[in-house]
Amino acid sequence: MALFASPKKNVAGTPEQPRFEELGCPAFASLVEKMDADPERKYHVLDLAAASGNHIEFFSRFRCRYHIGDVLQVLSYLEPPEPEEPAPDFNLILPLHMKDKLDLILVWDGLNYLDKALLPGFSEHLLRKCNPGAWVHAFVYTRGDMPAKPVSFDILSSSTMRRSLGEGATAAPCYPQRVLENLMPGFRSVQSRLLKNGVQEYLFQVQ
Amino acid sequence: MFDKPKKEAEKPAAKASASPAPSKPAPASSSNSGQTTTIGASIKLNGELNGDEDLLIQGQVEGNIYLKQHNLTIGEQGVIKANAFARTITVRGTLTGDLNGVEKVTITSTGKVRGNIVSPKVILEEGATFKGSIDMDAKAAKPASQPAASAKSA
Repeated sequence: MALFASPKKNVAGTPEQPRFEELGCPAFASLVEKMDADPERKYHVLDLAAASGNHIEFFSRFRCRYHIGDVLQVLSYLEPPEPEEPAPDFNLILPLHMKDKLDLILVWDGLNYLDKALLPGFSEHLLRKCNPGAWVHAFVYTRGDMPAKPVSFDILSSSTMRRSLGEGATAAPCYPQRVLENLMPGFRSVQSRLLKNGVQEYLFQVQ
Repeated sequence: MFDKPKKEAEKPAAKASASPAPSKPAPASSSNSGQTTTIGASIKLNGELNGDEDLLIQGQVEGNIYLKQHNLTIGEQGVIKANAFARTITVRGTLTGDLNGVEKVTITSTGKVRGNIVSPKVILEEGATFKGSIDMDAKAAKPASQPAASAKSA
């Protein structure tokens, strides 16, 4: 008879705890500072990720209308059309029928997973709904690989985020800044910083 | 027709100008004493719901829900296609429509909402599903004198 109960084994199939990484995000911090500087202004924000209580709680500090796009997974599955096929209709994928134009778009992780050939069309779709001077905040992987699917980002503070490390790996497009700007006509990078593990933080602004 | 969660009715139930209308008086409990009227899981209402007491919906409602100064809860079994206006709104079930919460809107881990929310405080629990927009401008969620006061946008 065993004196102590044997420790529970990690049964096969038991989901592992998600792993996270903390990131200092100076471009996001400066964006928040700009928004804080104009407390009377009402901001129209579009988050392309799924609804997150964490994001909503953070942006509740502003007078803001917060739109949830929840399209990251869909974008990651889109494939470029064959030569005789029509391009995907982004008006169906992400309808932007809101009355007011957008001041900020959170594209966290989205640029990495949308096919390069589709990025200009998607960018144009967003641009049409942006106010002059609107911001786009994004993260781009600059090393060889990235998680197999878009991951979630939690806002820890105005200058810190927590990124899920996801599962599996796939090749990352590793866009250099100039290439990214060419793929997103109308948007110009106003701030860019290489963070941990090859994650590049971008703040774009509508020209 | 209505569930009787606690006591026999002391006041009429939340008024439902519904189709089909309830065929007999709806047993319900008053809210001023902290009790809640329940619309049971087998009930289907089509029309406009007005009330002066807290309401828990486990059934199916299509139309508009207007609880002036009271709390609305959509239970886990509730399936709602309606615009709702209440002091606080808690969604544990499924709702399609616009929500106007004077104080707070909460979507719990089992809640699924598609629509627009206007409220100074919005809580989205982990696991909740929400697609739409949230107006977090405290000035936006003003009490209205008419049903279906929730903001239309997006």
